[in-house]
Formats: sequence, C-alpha cells, structure tokens
Amino acid sequence: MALALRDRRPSGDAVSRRRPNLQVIAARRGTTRVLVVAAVLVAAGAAMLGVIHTQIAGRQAQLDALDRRIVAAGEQFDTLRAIRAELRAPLRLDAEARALDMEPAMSSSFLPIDPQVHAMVIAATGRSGGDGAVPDDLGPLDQFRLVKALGAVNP
Amino acid sequence: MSRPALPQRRLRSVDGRRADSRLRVGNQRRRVQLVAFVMIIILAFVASKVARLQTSGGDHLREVAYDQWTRTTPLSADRGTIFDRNGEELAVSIPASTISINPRLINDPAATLSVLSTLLNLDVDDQQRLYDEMVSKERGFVYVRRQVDAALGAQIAELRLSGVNVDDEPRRILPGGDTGRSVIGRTDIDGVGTAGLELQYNDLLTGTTGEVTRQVAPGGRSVPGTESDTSLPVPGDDLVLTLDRSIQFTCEEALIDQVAATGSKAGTCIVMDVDSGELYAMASVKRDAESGEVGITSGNFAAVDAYEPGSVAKVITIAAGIDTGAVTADTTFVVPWRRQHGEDLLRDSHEHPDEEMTVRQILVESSNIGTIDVQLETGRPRHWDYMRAFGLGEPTALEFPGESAGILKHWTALQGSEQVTVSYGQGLASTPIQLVTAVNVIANNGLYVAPKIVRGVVGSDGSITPTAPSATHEVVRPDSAAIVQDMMIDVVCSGTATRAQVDSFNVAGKTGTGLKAQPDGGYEDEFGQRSYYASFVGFFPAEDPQVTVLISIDEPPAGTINRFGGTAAAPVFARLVPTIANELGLQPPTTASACDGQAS
Repeated sequence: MALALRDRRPSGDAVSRRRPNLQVIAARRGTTRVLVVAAVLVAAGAAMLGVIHTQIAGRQAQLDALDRRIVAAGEQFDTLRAIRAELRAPLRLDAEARALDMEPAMSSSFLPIDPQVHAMVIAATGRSGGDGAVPDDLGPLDQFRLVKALGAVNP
Repeated sequence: MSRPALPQRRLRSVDGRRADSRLRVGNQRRRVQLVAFVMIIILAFVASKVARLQTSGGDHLREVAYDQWTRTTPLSADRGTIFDRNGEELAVSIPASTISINPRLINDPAATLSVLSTLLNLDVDDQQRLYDEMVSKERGFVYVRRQVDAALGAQIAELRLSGVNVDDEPRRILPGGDTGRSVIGRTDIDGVGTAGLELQYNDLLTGTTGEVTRQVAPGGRSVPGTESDTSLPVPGDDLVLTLDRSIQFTCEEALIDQVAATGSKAGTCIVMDVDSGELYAMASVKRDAESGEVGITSGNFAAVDAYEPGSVAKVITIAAGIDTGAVTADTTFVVPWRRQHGEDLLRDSHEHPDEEMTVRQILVESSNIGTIDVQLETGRPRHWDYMRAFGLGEPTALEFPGESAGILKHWTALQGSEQVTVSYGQGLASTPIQLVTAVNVIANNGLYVAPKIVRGVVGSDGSITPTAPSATHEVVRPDSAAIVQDMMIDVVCSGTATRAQVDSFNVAGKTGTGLKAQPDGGYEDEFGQRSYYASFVGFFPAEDPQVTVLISIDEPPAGTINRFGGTAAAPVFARLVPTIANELGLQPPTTASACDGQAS
C-alpha cells in the first residue's frame, strides 16, 4: 500500500518569519580565562590541602612517636625505681653484709667529738648551695613527685 | 491537503483481550504522571524514614553503627605507690605483659605452642591445656601467662604470631621482699587490694581507667587517617607511710630470731613516735604450723588480735591512782602473796611474806595483789574511766581492716574476781596497738595521741597532702605521768625488765606476762597447760622520751624461763634500741645512767 508523501519543509515565508535576529557578540574569552584560573586555583588548593594533610599526618606521627617514647620512659622510670628499691632493700643489704661476715650491732656507744674537728670535716665535705636542684640529689620520693608533676602538666 | 485516512486499529493485549484505555500506547502523559506519582510516594516514604531516623528513631541505629565501626580499648591506670617515711618504695607497680591467645585465629597450634613454651617456660600441664584449647577452638580468649616481664612480652609481640595477644598489665611487687608485708597487705592478680593498707586505701590507690576509641575496618584493623578519641587514665594517688623500712626490717628480723630461738608461736613489734603517734614499725611474725619456719605474716596481728595484756596494764592502774590522788608513789600497803577474791584465790607471781610495799615497789616488782589495793583505793568506776581514757576497749584511729576493739566490759558488768583482776591485766583484752598507745600516754607526759600510719598522700600533680595530725586528749596530768615514768625506769633498772637495759640510753618500761584464754574460757588446756603472752612496753631516752616500743611474744614455751615478758620480750627491745636510735638520729642525753647504783 502506497502512502502519499507530504513535503514537511516549511515554506519560504515561514522560514523568513521564524529566523532569529542574529547579533555579533564578543567571544567568551574572559569567562574561559576565569574558568581556567578558577580550575588552577582549585587544583592548587587541592594540592596544598594534600600537602597540609601530609604535613599534619607527618607531625601527628611524630607526636605519636613522642608519646610512645614518653610512655616508654615512664615505664622505664617505674622499672628503675623498683630495681633501685630492691637494691636498697634492707633484706638484700643484710644478706650482702652477712656474706661479708658482718653482723648487726648489739649495742652502740656515742663518742664526744671535738667541735673544731667537726667543723673541719663539714668544711672539707660540705657542698655549696644550689646543687640540691639537680634531680639526682633529690630523694626517691621527691624524684617521683617531680616526674609525676611533669606528667600532670603534660598529660 | 487532507491526511490520508488510516485504518482504525485498537491495541490488543497478547492474549487478545482489550487493553485498558489508560495504558494505551501514545498516552504518554498519563504514564509520566503515574511514574511521577509512584516516585513521589517512594520519595515521600524515604523522606519520612530519613526524618524519623534523624529525629526519634535514629539513636539506636547510630549507636549500633558506631559500635560496628569503632573499637574501644581500656587503658589501665597505674596503681599508686606506697612509700615509707623516707621515700623508699614499699609497694610499687611495674610494667608487665599478659600473654593470651585466641584459639580460633591460630593456624598452626603445634608451632605456636612450641614458641610460647620456649619463651615462657611453660610446664607440661600448661602446654597440654593450651594445646587442647588451640585444637578445640571453642573459646576466643585463653590466658597463657599473666604479668610476665615486659621485655619478654615485647619479644613475643615482635613475633606477630597469629592469634597470640600481648597486653600491658602492671604487676604489683614489694621491692623490699616481705618487709612490711603485714601492714602493706596485698592485691589480687587484678590489682585490687585484698588485705592491709592495700585494701584500706584501695579507692585512693586505684586510679581512673582511661580508654582509646578508634575507627576500625571490618577486619578489625585501624582505619588510616581516622581520628582516635583517647581518654587518658588517671594514675592513683600514692601513700607515704610513717613506717621506716630499716626499723621495720630490724623489728621483723629480731622477732623472727627470738620466736625461733625460744620456740614461741608468734611475735609482734610496734615502734611509735612519742609526740606524733607515728608508727615507725608494725611487725608481725608467726611460726608456720607445718614447716615450723618463722616468717613475716600476711596478717597484721598487731591490730587484729587481742590478748589479755597482763602486767603492762598495771601502768594504767598505778597512773590512775596517782592522778586521782588516791595514792602516791610512796603510799604503802601490806601486801600478802595471795588473797581470796570471791571464789578465786588470786596470787602474785612468786611467794613472799606479807610485806609493806610502796606503790613504786608494787609496780617495780609487779605485784598483782598490791595493784588490786591501788585499784580499790582509786575506786573501780574511776579506774574504769581511766582505762577507757587510755584507749582500751575501742579501736584506734588507724581503722585498719579487721582491727579489733579488744574487750573491756563496763565496770558494772564485771563479775567475781574479774572486778579486780582487770587492774593487772586479766579479764580484759587489748590489741598490741592499743597497749603501746596506752603506755605512750605516760611517755608523752599524760597526753594520749592516736596512732598514725599514713603520713601523706601524693596527688596526681605530685603535690603532697599531709594527713591531719593525730587526735589527742589529756589522760593524766604531766606531773602524774612523770612519777610513773620514774617508776618505770626503776622497773628496767631493778625490776622485772633488767634485760631491756641498753648502753648509752636510759630506758623506762613495764613487762607483762598474760595468760591466754582457752576456748572454754579458762586458762588451762585439756592437759592442764597454760599458754602465755609475754610482752614488754618501754620508751627511751627515759629523760626525754622520743620512742615507745612494744614487743610481744605469743606462746613462749610454758615450762621455761622464757615465758615471762622480762625474759622473752625485753631482750628484743634492747636489741632494737641501737638501730632505732641510729635511724632516727637520736643521741643520748648527757645525764648519767639512771641505773647507776641500783641493783639489777
């Protein structure tokens, strides 16, 4: 079955009626430039962000390593305290002394000392002031308190 | 030009039925509307669901999701250290590692067990137990060994064995060995105080546990780059005791030697500062019933056990008599060696003719009958008031776990001969800490000062908070105390405690030989044997008392000379004085020996 074909093209008058009024406008070079700059800025920002994140991660890793060292140092401090306490324990000292054929004194006697001799001994062995600030010169309890106080300041 | 007419056709469904007119091909607008409507319904449902999850119904799901992607690990807080008065560690927690396994993650049980056995030196039973667990894979967590050396734990962790966990778990140790163990007490393996000061101050010593929360992948590994939320643990506070580790050790050694040498059952030693009530030592030793070895006990008998104090209580009776003015040191009584009181015939320790004895002689020679006379002269109600003022019949301020109040019946409740035997220490019971505190009243010029064992607390910032000074109250006037002090010097110089004399220092004291009550309430066991409780309480330098010391020996052999306080306990006191003086820097006064010219 054949169908009659119809010319679907608009007629000349209709074309002329529908044709838009064209105008010459400037090329959109400025917009492109802005887009390019923006893209570069975004890319640079993203890169900087990456760098910053890397830096932060690196610093965080350093801080974590420092924290681990602090914890390890604290544990070592506790271990050394315990070892020192064992070494200074009367039980051990008594055993060591007995091994050297020493015995506890069953009596004591006090001898008067010439004050001049006493003064000379102090002058010869006494220390000048200021040395007490050195932690090694502190007693065990003061050393412990010092470390604990530092831990409280920098948790 | 008109369009050619097309034949009218209707869409039919495949089965030939006539399709619904609304779904006809070409009715596109209706179909779009239908799809849009369905989409709106779906979106509305989703939106309402989202709204509900974001408001009321989402909390639970958020919690579940948070639990899924995070893992929280507890961070154990360090238990506080216990120091002696000089800052020496008595109990300290040190880093240690606990090894455990997850049998379900172990691929090669034999190899894993071999490595662990080699490093941890596991015995055959442990090896078999672990192997069974690894093979059965029934449990997800099994301890291999707890609180091993931290270096060993690190070594095992480095091996990265599948299914083997290494966790930090501090271990509590006494670096000085058993020194002070009776007082310090102990903790269980979880670090919780179960006895002694560890129990009493458990809340203070225990810190606040922290935790770290991190985001994890499905495999349990941390997600790189994610933040972790860490709550740091707060370590426990630290105790600074009044104990001196060297004096404590010397006390324990001296007691062990004496208990072993005399064949006694146990011994107690307390060393107390006269003015402050601070305890320099508090030692308890006991003979093991099976092995016969004498060692430091885990129980603080000095505060927990109460016995009849015996003649040491005469100090209270004589002080009460003098302080009330009922007697003076020179008041005389005619004292027989025995006297009937109620149904009981009471007697002195040795037979002697009726003799006139001064109050001083009564104390020096430790006459029971004479002491009864002083008590009756004072009046029983007032005597009882003094005993309470001296601290008998109630726990001390130590509040030690399990501390005994002793036994002191009200004077109206005393029956028969107990009404008078309390004057010389029978018919009542006191703990060693009560007894030394009571005699310390005389050394401290009549002022009762409560015993104290904690000097201060070290806080989390390292600062020390001293404990409050001990409570005090006047019991007898200073002049009354001075008279009794003088009498007690005579006890050491020429009375029952001559073996407490030491070179360089004048000593004052009083012996006591109490009888231990048997389960039936009497003083003799089924074999007619008596058990004794020998003690000596003294202080020095007698001219200016600084230290009060109690020595008690529990159940010295009944048939020997060592059953008395003067023979069993006083020599231990004499042995301790040089060490105590050295540790505390005490120097003898320049006055001559108080015992010069006195028979001893």
